[in-house]
Amino acid sequence: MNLKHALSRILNPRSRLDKLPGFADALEEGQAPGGAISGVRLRDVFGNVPLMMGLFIVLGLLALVLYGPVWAPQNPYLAGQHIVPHMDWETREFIRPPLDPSPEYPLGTDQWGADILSMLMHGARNTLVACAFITMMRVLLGLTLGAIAGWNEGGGIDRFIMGVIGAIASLPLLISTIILIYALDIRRGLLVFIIALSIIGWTEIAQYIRSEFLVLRKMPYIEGARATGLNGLQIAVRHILPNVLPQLLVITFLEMGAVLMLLGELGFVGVYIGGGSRIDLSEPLGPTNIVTLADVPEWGAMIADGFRWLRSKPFIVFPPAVAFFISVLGFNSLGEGLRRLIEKRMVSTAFLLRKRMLVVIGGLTAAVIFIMNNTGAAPWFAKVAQAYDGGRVYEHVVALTEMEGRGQGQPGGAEAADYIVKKFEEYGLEPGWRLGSYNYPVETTLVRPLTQPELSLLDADGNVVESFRHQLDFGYMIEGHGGSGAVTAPLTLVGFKPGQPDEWDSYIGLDLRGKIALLVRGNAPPDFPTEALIRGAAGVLWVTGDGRDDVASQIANPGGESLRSPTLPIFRIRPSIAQTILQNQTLTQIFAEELPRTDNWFTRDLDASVRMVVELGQPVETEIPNIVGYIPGSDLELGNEMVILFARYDGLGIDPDGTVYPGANHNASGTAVLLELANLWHEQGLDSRRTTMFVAWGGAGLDDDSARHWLEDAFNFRHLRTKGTRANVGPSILIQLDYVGAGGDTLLIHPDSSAKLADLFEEASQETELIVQRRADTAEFSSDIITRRLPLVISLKWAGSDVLPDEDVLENIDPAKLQIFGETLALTLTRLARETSY
Amino acid sequence: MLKFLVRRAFFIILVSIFIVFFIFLGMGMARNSDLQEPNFDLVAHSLTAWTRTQTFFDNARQGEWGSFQSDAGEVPLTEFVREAYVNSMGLLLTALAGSVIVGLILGSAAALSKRSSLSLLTITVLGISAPSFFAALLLQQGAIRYQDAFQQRLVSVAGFGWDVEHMLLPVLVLAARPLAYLTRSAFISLDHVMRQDYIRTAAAKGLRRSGIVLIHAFKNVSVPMFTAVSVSLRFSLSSLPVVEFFFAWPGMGLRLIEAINGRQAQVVAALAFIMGLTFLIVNLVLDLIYRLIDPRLRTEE
Repeated sequence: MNLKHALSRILNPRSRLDKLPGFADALEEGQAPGGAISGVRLRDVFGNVPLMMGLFIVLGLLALVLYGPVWAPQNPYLAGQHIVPHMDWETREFIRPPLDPSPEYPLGTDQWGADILSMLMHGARNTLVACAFITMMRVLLGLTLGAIAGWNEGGGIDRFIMGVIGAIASLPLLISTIILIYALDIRRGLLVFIIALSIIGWTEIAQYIRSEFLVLRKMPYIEGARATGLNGLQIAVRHILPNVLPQLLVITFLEMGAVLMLLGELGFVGVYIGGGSRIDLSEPLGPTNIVTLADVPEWGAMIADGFRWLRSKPFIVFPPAVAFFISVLGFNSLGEGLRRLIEKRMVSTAFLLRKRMLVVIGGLTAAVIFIMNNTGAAPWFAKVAQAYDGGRVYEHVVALTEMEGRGQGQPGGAEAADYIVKKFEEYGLEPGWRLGSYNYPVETTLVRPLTQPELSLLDADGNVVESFRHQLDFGYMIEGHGGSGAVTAPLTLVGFKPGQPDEWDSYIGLDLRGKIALLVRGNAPPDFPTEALIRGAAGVLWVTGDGRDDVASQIANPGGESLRSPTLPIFRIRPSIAQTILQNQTLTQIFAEELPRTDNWFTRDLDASVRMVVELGQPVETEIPNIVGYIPGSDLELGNEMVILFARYDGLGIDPDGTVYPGANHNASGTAVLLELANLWHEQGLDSRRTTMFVAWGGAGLDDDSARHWLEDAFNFRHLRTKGTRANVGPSILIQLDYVGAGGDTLLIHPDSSAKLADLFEEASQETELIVQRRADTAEFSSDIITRRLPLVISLKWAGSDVLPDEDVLENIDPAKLQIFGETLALTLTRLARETSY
Repeated sequence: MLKFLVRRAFFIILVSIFIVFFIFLGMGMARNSDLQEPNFDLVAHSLTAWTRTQTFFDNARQGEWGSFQSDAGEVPLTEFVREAYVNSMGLLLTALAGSVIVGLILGSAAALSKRSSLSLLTITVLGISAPSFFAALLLQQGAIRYQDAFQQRLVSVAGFGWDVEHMLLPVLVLAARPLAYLTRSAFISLDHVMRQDYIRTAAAKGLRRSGIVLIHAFKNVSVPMFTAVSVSLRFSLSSLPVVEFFFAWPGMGLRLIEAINGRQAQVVAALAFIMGLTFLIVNLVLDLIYRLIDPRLRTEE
């Protein structure tokens, strides 16, 4: 079968008569049945200039819709906005976007520095798919209403429909479309355009269909069909529709042209899909000045944007205008060519109504839906987020947990810092500290034990009943007079009546000689250990909270006095340990008994003695590295805003007896996620508009104050090289990652987090199907960073992840949790990095 | 005939009310959509819009719409609409008249000449496909380039004035699509008519060719041509706002866009009402002319 036959069969399929017995012979004799009457001559198809031109253009557009984003040299969703205004010293010209066409940007750039050619190629999808949807709706509406009117000629329905048609026709087309779009709220996007443009535009199709129906329903074969007992709907679909179809096809193509033209005109007067992002440029006391910026690659929006630069940079507005012209031309000539073909040869389009067409239509719809879902910025962001690799994060966690707990001032801590620096370098982050260094050192004085600290409960004979574990059950303090010592003494509970003044003369009569004082945090005055020392205590046990870090040994006390001579051992213990010591009494019980008997304080000798041993080394001046790297924001304005990702990398380290606290969840996991995000930005080439800073903070067990001071001091950001005006760069958004690799099924957002950021994160979590709650589960949520004085802050962790340091091991880390959390965060970050308002 | 007129008058009144109501409803909802939390209570919006429509027509009957606040201070609305109307109609009529005359001549010439018609039809598809803003862009840039090259002003690229300098570009742009469409219609219908048997009969009778064309052909072409003119009117009316917006021509289209962006419902309603009314009346007149030139339509009654 040659081309001619194939074409003839496609355009004019007929019954396979050759399958009938006897017909094959006839074919052999060259008498193709009916071939001369209805065969399509190639000349009619290929000699039809408009048809060929239209086909060529429309197929080209189709290719652009499908592959435009792939072919485009740039991705306007992720790139652009990176042209710094600068002086070209050779030509002595000040260069700032929009840039003129050049080899790098064949059609120039728009005012944001985005490549216009890429915008056009990406925009084809947005614009043409919108156009196809609108046309589809118009044709459906027109066909249905026109058919109803035509079938009920002269009836009430007919008159009503005709009246509506007349009324709509007398509305000014463009104006009423604009009003409808605004009325339905332009910010809702495509749907509004589909509704508005099809409500206004179905009338012409309906009129045509109605007139066809008027003629056709009087045909004898319709009467025949009616006589055979078919009902109205059957006749309309089986007998009238096939006769209208060829013309309807022509009309559909012409309508595509008309809709495109309308979209162009709407864009021209500043109405485009989504309406752009509104930015408030009003001065505090000045008039309101809200500008809308088209930041979506869509032809109409491009025209709207380009119109502003019409006089000085006409090249911006021409490409989308030409694109509209060529597309309109393509559809119009295809329609025109088809009309001629149909007029010359009765082309049968009955095949469009066959059942297998339903399959084709279904497939097309699916394809369109697929394209729709892949239109706009969100899918690109999703794509970036999906590239986040939880496996690689897990590898980082493995590497970090093998570093002897990454203790400050210990080899493991230094090793971890080196590891992070190396990764930052590999991922192309700019050094965030002065002199091109990633390492921002914080000086501190560390006090580490020389031998394993010991706390044991003794029986009456001085035998050890129970030994407690350093870092898990208790930890030493160096604050004030806290320090070395080895004592064995009976225990006395010292309680205080709430609300009593803490003055030296309040404690007259208190004798703690030869005893170890048991105090309860919140009940005892904070400075009481000093008083206990004066009153002769051999040691102090503080009952603190049950949080993970509540009993961690205090290895440094920045900003406060420590190891003040004479020293005595001061240990913090958990309430559960206090309970073990008290045996069958409870603290509450004792307080309830004693408090009514006293006005000020009371002591109760406990039936137990304990042994406290701690031998501290000399204070060592140490520089704790904080690793800071950043990606400069590419936008002139937004580049001054800084998104800071925060995670602590160090941990409890290694004890003198060789016990290692790997801190897998706290906080190898947060650091690992941070590293992978830095890698993601590097790998995906996401052009961040805001400056993104990655901080691996070395301060676990110290305090968060220095971190906060560091953030609050604008001087620390002066040296950053961003594209914006440098004086202003400073942290605007803080994201803290802790305990992100293990725990329950719910991710917690600290309730003190900025609501805006929490909303954004929740939005992202809906896409990754991560369960998110806004609550704190324990007091220990690293909430020190969450202070009201900093800008937008969000702190994230898994629920129930707050386990004791000895259980915080690699085996508990769940790669799936690392994956889903990181993906959600990446999605949030892409928006924070790219979008003007979030 | 009387029955026809009464029915049409009734229809015009109904549609006018519909237009004003539509505008008030749409503008009310647009204003509402600007809010952070819009309220899409259609019934409430319709009621408000209906009240405003009633006030609008009450005022219209007294011939006075009051005034509205613009950047330049308080402006009497009636005066404002009248001025915009005159400015627009001047442009529109010039463009339409020009395109009817030129289109008819071009189309007929092409149909009557024996040469191939394909190129003409292709060019008209090009003309119909050119969006008005594209044509405007091309012409304006052309004028600017010319001015740059020859240091001499050919035409004004924007602005208002009743002279060739100011009107040329907007009229050309406004006329482009109707011209293409009319040329095409004239060609197709005349070509069709010239193939009819009665033309051959007339020729066989020995009539001169000019006589055949003028008396027999044109009479039969006039009906489709009138349809084409009314379609062209819709074309130009729809691209009028774009052209006026582009060339800063203070007509109804520009004023409408400004008023919509300023959310001045009263102004939009007044302008759209006048525009719609004109369109309806022109259509009525066209219908009447149809009846005059096409005897077939008269037999209905």
